Amino acid sequence: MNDAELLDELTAIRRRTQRDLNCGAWRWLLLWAGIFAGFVLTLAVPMLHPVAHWYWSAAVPLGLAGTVLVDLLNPETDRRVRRADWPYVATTVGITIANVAGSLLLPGAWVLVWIWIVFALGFAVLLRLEGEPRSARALVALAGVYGVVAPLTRDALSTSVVFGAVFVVALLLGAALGKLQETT
Amino acid sequence: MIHPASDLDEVVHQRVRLGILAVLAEADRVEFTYLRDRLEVTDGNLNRHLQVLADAGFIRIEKRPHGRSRTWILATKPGRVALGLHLERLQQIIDGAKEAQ
Repeated sequence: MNDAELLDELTAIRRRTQRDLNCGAWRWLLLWAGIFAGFVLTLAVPMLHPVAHWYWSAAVPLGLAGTVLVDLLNPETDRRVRRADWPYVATTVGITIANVAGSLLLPGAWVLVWIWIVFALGFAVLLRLEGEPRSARALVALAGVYGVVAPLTRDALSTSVVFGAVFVVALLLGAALGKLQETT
Repeated sequence: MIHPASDLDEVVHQRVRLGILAVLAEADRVEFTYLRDRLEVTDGNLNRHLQVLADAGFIRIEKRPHGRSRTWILATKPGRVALGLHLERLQQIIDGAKEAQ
């Protein structure tokens, strides 16, 4: 085996390991797309507005438990190869801190706009950790668009609903792409 | 001029050992059987190469109770650096050979 063949073999080994590590990432994306869709619904439907106040206190623990469950029940997960847990924990804590800080610093309903910027950037980090750099870059770009568009709007609630709906679609596309990559 | 080949680390420059470090470059830790299956080597062969890498300080071997006792392999920082440098050297050799042709 010459050096070029050896390098090719090492690249193949690394790709295979990445695949084993990232197998089934689309499942938790799908789960969180559902959770975010639920929140968008509470904002979009006036009758559900009271639910929006306590939505995240229920959705976050359920979502985190669901994510762990999805990982544990995924039949394709090879549990013999693991990545470090702390970057995921740090990102989740970062998202929470940024949202809490936003709720303390931003006026009124604008926090509902701010959260989508935080979620887009936070999920970009999570997707980067999952070895999905293209999807991560797409979410960073989406956060940038949110940041530019938000100051131009007047109705925070409507803006939040649109941002949220776009974010849910982006996550669904990411999940579809992940599933597609897994099967090909 | 020093030929890049002279910089190659003999501990790293072995197919199975490079494979071990390549897997560990992507993961935080891997179980012994994962490496054995992916690199298609026997238990004894893998053990021997792991020991060479551990003696050089490039990996750590840990026994962790996880239902049953499992052997986990972790890369150290010098191990990750050694792989990076080695891949760089290999690429230089390949590029040099292409230029010479």
